[in-house]
Amino acid sequence: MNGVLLIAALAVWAAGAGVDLLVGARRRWGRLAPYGAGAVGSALVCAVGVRSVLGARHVFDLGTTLAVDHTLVQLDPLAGLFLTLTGGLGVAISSCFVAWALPPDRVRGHATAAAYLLVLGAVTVIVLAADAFTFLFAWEALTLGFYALTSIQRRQPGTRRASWLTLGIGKVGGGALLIGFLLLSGKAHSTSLSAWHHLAHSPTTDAAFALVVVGCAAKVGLVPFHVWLPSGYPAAPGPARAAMAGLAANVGFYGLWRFLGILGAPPLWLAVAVLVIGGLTAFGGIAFGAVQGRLNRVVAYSSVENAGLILVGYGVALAGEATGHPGVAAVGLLAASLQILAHAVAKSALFGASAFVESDFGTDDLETLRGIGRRHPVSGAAFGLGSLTMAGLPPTIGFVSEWFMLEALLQEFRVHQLAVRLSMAFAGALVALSLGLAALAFIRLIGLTVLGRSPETTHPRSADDRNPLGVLGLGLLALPCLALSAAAPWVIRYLGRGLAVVLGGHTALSALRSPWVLQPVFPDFSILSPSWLFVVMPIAFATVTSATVVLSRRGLLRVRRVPAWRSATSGVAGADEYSAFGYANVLRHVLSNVLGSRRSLVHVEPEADEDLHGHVAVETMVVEPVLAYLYRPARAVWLWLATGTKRLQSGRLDAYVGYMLVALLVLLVIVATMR
Amino acid sequence: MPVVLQVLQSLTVLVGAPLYVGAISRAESIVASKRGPSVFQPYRDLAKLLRKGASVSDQASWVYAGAPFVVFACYLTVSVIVPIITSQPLPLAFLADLIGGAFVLGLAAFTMALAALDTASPQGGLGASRATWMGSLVEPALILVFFTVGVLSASDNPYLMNHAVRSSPYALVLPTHVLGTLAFFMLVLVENGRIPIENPSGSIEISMIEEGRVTEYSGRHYALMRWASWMKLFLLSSIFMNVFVIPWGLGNAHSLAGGLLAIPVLAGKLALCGLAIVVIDSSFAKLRFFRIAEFLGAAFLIALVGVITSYVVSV
Amino acid sequence: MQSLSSSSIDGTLLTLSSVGILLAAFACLGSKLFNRYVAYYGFQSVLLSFAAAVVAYHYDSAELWALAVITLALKGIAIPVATQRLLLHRLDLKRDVALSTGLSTSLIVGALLTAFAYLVIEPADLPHGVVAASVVPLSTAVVLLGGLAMVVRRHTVAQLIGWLITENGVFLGAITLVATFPFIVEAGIFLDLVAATLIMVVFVSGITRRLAEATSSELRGLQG
Repeated sequence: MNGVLLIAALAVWAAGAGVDLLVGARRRWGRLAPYGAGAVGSALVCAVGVRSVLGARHVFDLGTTLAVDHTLVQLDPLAGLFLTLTGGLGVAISSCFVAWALPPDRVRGHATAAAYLLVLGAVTVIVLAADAFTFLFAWEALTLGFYALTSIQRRQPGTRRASWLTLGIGKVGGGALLIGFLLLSGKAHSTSLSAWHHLAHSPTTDAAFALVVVGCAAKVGLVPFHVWLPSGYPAAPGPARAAMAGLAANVGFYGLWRFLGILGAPPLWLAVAVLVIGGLTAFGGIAFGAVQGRLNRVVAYSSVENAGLILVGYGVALAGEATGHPGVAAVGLLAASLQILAHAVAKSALFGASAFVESDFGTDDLETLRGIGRRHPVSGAAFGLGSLTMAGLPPTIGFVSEWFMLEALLQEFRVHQLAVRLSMAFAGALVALSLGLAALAFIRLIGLTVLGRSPETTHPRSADDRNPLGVLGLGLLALPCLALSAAAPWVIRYLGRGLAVVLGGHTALSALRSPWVLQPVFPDFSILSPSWLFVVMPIAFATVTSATVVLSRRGLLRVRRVPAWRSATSGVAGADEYSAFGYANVLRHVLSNVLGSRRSLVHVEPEADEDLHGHVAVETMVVEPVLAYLYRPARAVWLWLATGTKRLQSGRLDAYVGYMLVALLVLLVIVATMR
Repeated sequence: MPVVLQVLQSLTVLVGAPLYVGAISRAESIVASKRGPSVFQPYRDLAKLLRKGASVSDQASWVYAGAPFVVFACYLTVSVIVPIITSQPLPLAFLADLIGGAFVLGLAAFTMALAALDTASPQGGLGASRATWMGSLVEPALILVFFTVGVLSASDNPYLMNHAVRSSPYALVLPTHVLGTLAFFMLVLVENGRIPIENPSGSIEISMIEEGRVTEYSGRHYALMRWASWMKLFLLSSIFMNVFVIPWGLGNAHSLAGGLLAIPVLAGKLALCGLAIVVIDSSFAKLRFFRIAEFLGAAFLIALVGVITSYVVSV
Repeated sequence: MQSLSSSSIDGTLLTLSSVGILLAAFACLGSKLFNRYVAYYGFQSVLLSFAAAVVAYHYDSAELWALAVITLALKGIAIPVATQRLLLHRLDLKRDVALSTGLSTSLIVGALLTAFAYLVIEPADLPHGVVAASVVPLSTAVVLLGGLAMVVRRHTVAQLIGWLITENGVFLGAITLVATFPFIVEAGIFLDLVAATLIMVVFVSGITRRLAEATSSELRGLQG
């Protein structure tokens, strides 16, 4: 049954891609059918996911025809968990896509839908793969899909560089995975993932574990691999960003989860490194996000932050496994899984909503976008809910996940190794700091973009987010931000089934203290009931409101409308409203040594009709330290090496074959001496 | 009986908060050799504001109008989960722990900042930007304080923490606890906009932080905002005294007499806390805005040293 | 599936044909005439298809039988004939004058490479008595000799022959070591081979016809 559903899903996607490649976006149905196929296939995959979370583990052997070794496909609760997420998000993003692609000229040519469906298919196959070859093959297919999506709008400035960066980092990650897999399969004499289960721990398996972490981290954007996210995501067209950031990036996490289950306890240094780097990624990601001037870049940097947060949770799980504390491992992994869930729905909602807004306004410049909530109520609401979730505010699912994250880090005192304790405390401080900065960044987005003065432009509004499918898609993305939190106990039960594959038991279910109250796995540490907060906080709100209305004899409802207070003096020139740039200025000033922000005075020539002369504008720029201090020097060294190697480039075929022959001989000598 | 106590606890916070603030400002005036307003002045302010109509910015949306109620509801929610008059959890205490409470307070701050930006007033934006930035620097120090709590009591639940300190008073003098307490007190000052962060009695446009966010509010909305901020001071001071400094003198969850008796005891504790605030308010100058980061950095460092000493000196 | 042992008749036949393949490679290296290159290569390919047939017979594998037939048809007949007709005849190639080293030098280097192959692929490391123990060093040597042929000859067609020899060496090693090699991979290699040969043919006949006796040292003048 599951097999039939999966084949049907892949076939529907392939058919959709075929329609896109043959018919293209010129015809109306050619713009709609492929994304409709995306939704149908995703629904099937979601059904398979639910069935396999509730069912047992199945492994299908597809024989040796497709690859060097047996091609294996497996369905277990962990795979089911990620399939559910992929399928559910796929349905929502596809219906956003249909509504978005409906007006002509948004999608051009042939490749958009095909690349999108390729991404969906690759994600599904990665989650299903049970042998190294299939896993890597689908992984590379996903990299290709990302490259295709980011290079569709290659005529726009900066996009070409973004797509090369996406491809390059994807290849680095794939390379790390490949080397790690080769080490493991060399040890186990098999490419089947299940054969790696009981490998004895040795420096080789430790190195392989680290390489797998590097490979997956490159996909999700951990420092120093995060550089492709802020330019790569915005380069993709419309809702495809949601598919990349909210849906496809999850396979990186899936890989981490899967290999923790397969390889077991990691080396201690790896846990410490993941905790520290995860914390730094979270902080750096949101600090840079908060000062960006473009909407899509802010949202993309928030993905970097979330990758860091999730990796911190994963680091706690690694630390728990490495030091033999299954409870610590369970709470860390549960926190990280909840954060994945929160990030997936909220980020898809943010990018889905921003696609409509950007297409309507024609820009994603934060200084221009104002009051989008009034022009696009549905997109505005979805954007607001997504932002609340990403800022980790109650009562959204982001709040539950961040709470679990901090509680997981607080279990520091149960571990005895000083390095782990210190790095957990360090990560805790960084996670808390990035939470605070996330509030700063998202208040900026909601307060100045969704709310605020409504734009005076009078160009006709396109209400494409009121298309029923657009409303459905955005609703399916935004409402779970609240609903998942209200249903948190059930969510944890569902997650617990899947995580049992990794943790080797239903440890994560101890997070349920009673049916409606949560605790961080360890009893008597602390408690939280998001479901009851959903009851109590509205009651408190209603009480306060009705009490005030009654006390004021309904005078509360009668208000006077006046212009906002600006200053005691009149005649001050300049924009009334606080600008997004100004809002972030305090951060730019205080974190100047992290952000590398510099200010320079720029003289502006007075315009003829203005009697104000000699304005001085202040220009501020932000320097990404990883780019400035890691990639640029590396690039310089690389160029220097390339100039050196140019001398070897004689252009003679026999010389090249000679090099190859020498290389082969050296390789053979190395192999011979290694034995 | 626990239900009655639950209501009593929230009422204590609601009614006690203006009195607490009034007492502090009276005491400050006396220290400054002035007579000062009556301790009941905040009640009169509230009564007057609640009778007055409101004027609202023409740019504001429903977010602005709803914000005071959300903020007030947040503080009301926190008042049911922390130990104010009893040392045992009341019926609704399972809602959240200290960190969960901090998140609810975070929602209040977030809502206030949004409302400030919603008015499209430059003052509001300024206040929102500054206050949120300060809030983000408070978070890491606060979480390290919770780390010190977790080390000492193996929990993050205020009731269990209170219990742990009561059962081994020796913990009160452990360096971890002392440093955590000190850091928490500094955070209470920052969160409530007291000296050395901000002058709570004056509002000068250019240096406004907390006041900047509510500068557009008037009438009943403003009354709720003021009341909510007083409740915040009351709540944080109570947590500080009941959990960190003097964990004794609380009633149990089953006797009304114990709960009623705990109220005067709480008043005594708050008098001590208020005295400390008055002394600081009167003897220090307000910090320059960008020096606030250093003040918070100091709180962070103190808490960090507290966590590190726990590796060496433990209970 | 048990391994092919070297003492069985099948094993002996396989070893013998491998030796023949190596000798053909040496013959190619020691020759100066284009039509000899092609002839030796054709002979080598026929031996290779025989080796594949032996393995196929032993394991009774239909896929390997198919491989043997394809090898014979493609490498033993089609490629030599095509090279002869399309390149040698049309370009009027007879004597290869573009050699970097003398014939004797390249033969000595070839012998050294063969010794090297035996040195690094220590037969002692492979299971004793298995035919692979004797064939794998031979096939490695063929790979290296093919490479050497490409290095010492500068004429493009001669280099093509060297490359084909290298490929034969890889193929020999593959059928001996992993008789269960998936068919799809081998078919892919064949496709590569055909495509590469076609490209070479087009390249050589298209460009060098105008350059008459083209050598890659002349093509070097075109580099940017």
